[in-house]
Amino acid sequence: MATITIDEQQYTVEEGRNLIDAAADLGIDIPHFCYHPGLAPDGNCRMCLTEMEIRPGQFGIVTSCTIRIKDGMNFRFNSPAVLDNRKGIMEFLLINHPLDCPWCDQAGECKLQDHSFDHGRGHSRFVETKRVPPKKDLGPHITLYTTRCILCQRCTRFCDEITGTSELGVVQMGSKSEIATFEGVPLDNRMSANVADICPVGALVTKDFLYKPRIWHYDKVDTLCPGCATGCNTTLEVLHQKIYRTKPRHNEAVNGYWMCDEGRFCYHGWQDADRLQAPLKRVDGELRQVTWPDAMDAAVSGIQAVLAGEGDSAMGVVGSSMATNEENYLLRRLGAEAFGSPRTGLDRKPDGEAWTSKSGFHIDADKTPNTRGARDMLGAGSPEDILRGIGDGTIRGLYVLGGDIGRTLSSEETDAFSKLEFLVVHDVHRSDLAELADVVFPGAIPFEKNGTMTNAQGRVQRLSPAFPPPSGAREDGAILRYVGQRMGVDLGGTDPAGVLEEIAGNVDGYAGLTYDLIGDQGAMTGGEGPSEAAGG
Amino acid sequence: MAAPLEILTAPLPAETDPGDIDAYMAGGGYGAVRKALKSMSQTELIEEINASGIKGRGGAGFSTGMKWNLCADRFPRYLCANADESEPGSFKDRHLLEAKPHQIIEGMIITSYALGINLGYIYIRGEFFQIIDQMEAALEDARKHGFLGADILGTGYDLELYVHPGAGAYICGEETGLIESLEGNRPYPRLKPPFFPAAIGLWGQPTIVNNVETMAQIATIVDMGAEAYKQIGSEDDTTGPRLFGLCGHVKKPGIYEYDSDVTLRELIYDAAGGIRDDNRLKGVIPGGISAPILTPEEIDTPMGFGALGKLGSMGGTGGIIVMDETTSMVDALLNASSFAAHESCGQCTPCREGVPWMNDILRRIRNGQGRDEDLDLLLDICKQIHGHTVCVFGQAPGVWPVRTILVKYWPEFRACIERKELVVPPLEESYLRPDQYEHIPPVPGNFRLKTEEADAAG
Amino acid sequence: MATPLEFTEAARERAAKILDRYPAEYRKSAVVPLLHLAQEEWGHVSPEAMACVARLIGCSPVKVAEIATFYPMFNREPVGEHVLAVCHTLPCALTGCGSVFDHLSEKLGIGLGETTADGRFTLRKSECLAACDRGPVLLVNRRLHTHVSPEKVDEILTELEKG
Ligand SMILES: Cc1cc2nc3c(=O)[nH]c(=O)nc-3n(C[C@H](O)[C@H](O)[C@H](O)COP(=O)(O)O)c2cc1C
Ligand code: SF4
Ligand code: SF4
Ligand code: SF4
Ligand code: FES
Ligand code: FES
Repeated sequence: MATITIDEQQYTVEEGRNLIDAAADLGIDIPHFCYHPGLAPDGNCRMCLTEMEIRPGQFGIVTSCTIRIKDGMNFRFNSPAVLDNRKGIMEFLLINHPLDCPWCDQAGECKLQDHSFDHGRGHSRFVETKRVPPKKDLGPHITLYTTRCILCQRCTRFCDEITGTSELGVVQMGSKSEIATFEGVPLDNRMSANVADICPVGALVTKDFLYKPRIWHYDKVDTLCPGCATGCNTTLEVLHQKIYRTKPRHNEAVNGYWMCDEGRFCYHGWQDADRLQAPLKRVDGELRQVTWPDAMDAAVSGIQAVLAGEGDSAMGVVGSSMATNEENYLLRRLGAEAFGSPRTGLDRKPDGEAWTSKSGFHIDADKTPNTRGARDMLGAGSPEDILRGIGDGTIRGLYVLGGDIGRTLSSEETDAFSKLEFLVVHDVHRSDLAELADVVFPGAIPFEKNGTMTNAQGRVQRLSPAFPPPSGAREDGAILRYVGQRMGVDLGGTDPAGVLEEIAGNVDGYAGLTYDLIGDQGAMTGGEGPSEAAGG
Repeated sequence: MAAPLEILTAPLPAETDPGDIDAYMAGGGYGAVRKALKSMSQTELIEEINASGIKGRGGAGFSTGMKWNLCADRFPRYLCANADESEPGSFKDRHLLEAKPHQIIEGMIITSYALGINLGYIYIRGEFFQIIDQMEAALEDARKHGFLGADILGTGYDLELYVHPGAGAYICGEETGLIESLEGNRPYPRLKPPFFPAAIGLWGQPTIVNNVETMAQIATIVDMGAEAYKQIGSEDDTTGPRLFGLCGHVKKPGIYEYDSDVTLRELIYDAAGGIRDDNRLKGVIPGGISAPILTPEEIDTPMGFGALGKLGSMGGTGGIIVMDETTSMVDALLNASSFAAHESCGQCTPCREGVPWMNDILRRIRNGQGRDEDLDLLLDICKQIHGHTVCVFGQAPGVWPVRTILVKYWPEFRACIERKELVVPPLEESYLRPDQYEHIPPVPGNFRLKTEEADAAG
Repeated sequence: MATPLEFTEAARERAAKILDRYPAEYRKSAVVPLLHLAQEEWGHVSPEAMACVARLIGCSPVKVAEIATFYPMFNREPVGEHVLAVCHTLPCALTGCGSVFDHLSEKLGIGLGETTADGRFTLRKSECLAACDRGPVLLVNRRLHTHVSPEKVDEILTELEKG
């Protein structure tokens, strides 16, 4: 720790911390454009200049973004020299700026707009002609509104330092400088859309978010990306039961400031899925929409029929790495308490392509978010184990916590599941699996879930719902409880925090975990404490 | 009257090709290298340079001995000789490169040896085609004669020197821009402090960047000895011979070698033969375009870095631009400002946006569309740039010419605005006298009108 | 993008020599000299030429474009057989470079940055060429002409027409 002075007041801050970040920790805003805590400081915008005591009694102008805190440093954040510079920089940045805020997608979260309000001059002294370089299509996701660019080089540094793909550069010289890609080499990497988040103005925009409602209308929901086992922390922007945008939420131990494009845009697939509006029941070989009580009756009598047959437990349960820890845990209890120690499996789609960026940001090959957690909850065997059980006739009924829109069945799986006497499935649309089921319960997509998931590192993190499931569907935990109730088993209350408490008491490695401890940054299983393994 | 010197400008024997190493050696050339490598230790050499009192000739006038002493204790270290000479009005480096390539190489070898450097580059501006060819040939000859390569002169010391060409950007003369350029990046100057090239330079290693004239001077110092060297000029200002380049409205433009005590008046009227057509002097820029202008009343100053600094100007590169009474100071400033607007690298906001903006305003004034508020606006923009940029370019040549020419020739600019056309008023009415404006130390080029006079004038 | 460009065998040898001047791990240092080489080969530095240099260095092509578009000496478009650059910075302006430029422009019938229809001449302005004592100066291709006057311009042009 270090003691520093800011405008004659003393503060204790972390030694070695960047001055802008240290000030932010203290609630003091040093206006800046080019500095981003996830990138190496560059010092080009000159907005962050403050005064520092260089020799006893003598202050000099320094770039805050390149200062690392040392004990005894003495700053002036509000001297006339500092304030004048800010005014000057704002004027310089605005003279060639189009001021098209009414049409700009950044309006409301634009640093130029914010700072101009706080530090600007109010009227323009510029009577010359503005530069108007044309807009550019940079890649599959990103457009550059060149006129709005302030050349802070966050985007180029991102592609150099974080992805290492270096598709962006500054071309031309001096006041003609522009951000550009090379002909035939677009900005196309697995993390490309992050540049729109870090662009401090409305120059880089995701095509996905063009002309959407203005940003101040949205509700923000902190949750997790369901795209892979990395479990990037995200904030969803939601309006009228609809997600309009996903942004990464900072978590140094998981994703840093970033997320991948696939994860960022995956909400479309979920949101556009043709959701089940009511439970389905097989009647005369066909799935028909039925009421919840009807579906429950069918499920319970089907399961009981299987259990009444030969063998120890002819029921199997299959958890889901798309479902929360709490849901998988409840499934385990349902199985243990109502199905008589069934065999347990975990359903998961085939791996995708893993990728690690230059800075160490990792996209997991496992395209589901909670394989580790589901396994911890279920102590699950392999999917093959379940298939073998069906094959040799020891499993005759199956209860599957599905709910993965990306899941298709192989012909082997189709054959096996077709052999079952009775199949109950939770799902969100008419998947391959649902098509084979006797009863289908419409469940929730990850964006409707409340609970925790455990990422590949073993970090338990919270998931919050952006909106409730559609009226005909239910949260999967509630469905499980309802089934339990009908079979004479009380799975407890509906609050996921309560379920987690139970998990903490019963599941290895989860001892001591609570919602509070997990907070918004997650907590490691196995009591390893917060992991230092940075996500990039 | 100061006496001209013939040390750096010592003529070569008639009819010799400056690149000819044999002719150079016949005249005692490479003696300094022999002396340094064979009879002096690294410490002795550094001591010698320290004792000579030499200040770098690249423009900033920074003590070379001190720079060498600041070199961080890490290896490898690198040398970059700066031959990017692009400061308008400066042509001394071209002169030396053309006339004394081997002396520059000698200086580079001695410097490298003194600092334990085994690899160095001479960064030559790209437009110097013939100079690049000649320097490459000269390096090759030096290599053949055993002054470069492995085990130089049997001392066990190895050194490679190469030419690195520029490609027409002034900012590559700034030492960290030069390093970035040499690394193959956009030549964006680096933030200094915290790290200077002597601590973290080329490829992250300690690097000495010295001007090519400084390099040639190093050979001279070793040749003549620090004791004799520092007798030239004055120890409390600037030691050693200086190369002054006179251009513009003088009768005999060219390079003149004097010590630093020579006055500007002597250089203009004696060395360079006075003003063309015997016109009267209007203004003189004493050290390359960035150096704040001096009015006719201010030319009795010695040319030392310190002496010019006291006037709010600077020694800079010793390139002296003389302007006679027919000159339009509005045109002259517009020209200087266009240069700056064209050469700003564009890395940092104040310079990238502010310098071209000032250029637009000046062009408007020049074209008879100046507004009453424009001159104050210009001074205000200067203030917004000054001290707020990544490198010194933003102020020199970005701000200093504007601020000083504007302040000192305020009446001429006012006349242009009032009459809505380009006018060149009679000399007497075109500029302010030294008691009407003031320099606010410590930085050069920080000029302002004294208020009452400003009111009276404006 | 058009067909990829490759250096000729001779140019590749020169490129290898250029690369040899820099430590092996810092190949990017060679980018400016290699772009000069590319310009000698092809007259101007097209995107294909930049890509060729990028392949030699082993870097992303936009990093070469950053350099090629920064430096004024690299021609982005094809230029005339002879490139004439009149220095127009203050010292040369004081000694009359304006009339040299105007004379050239009139004789060649082209303006700033233009190339004659027959592709022989391109007219440019240059910043200070560090020969201010010998102004006005004119850079013709690789050769510097000093003390240039309208009359001398005529001589230079005649010589170039012949050559
Ligand atoms: C904008 C700018 C341009 C410069 N151009 C040159 C130049 O062309 N040649 C040069 O030697 N120094 C130039 N310098 C000074 C260098 O940064 C550096 O101080 C010098 O090369 C050091 O050499 P010296 O210590 O021998 O003087 C320039 C500085 C600035 C700020
Ligand atoms: S596009 Fe945005 S992030 Fe990139 S340099 Fe411009 S303002 Fe900065
Ligand atoms: S890395 Fe995985 S968790 Fe992160 S955004 Fe991409 S898909 Fe989502
Ligand atoms: S002051 Fe000008 S030249 Fe220097 S870094 Fe900033 S923009 Fe570039
Ligand atoms: S934030 Fe420090 S200079 Fe841009
Ligand atoms: S101004 Fe033309 S050579 Fe210097």
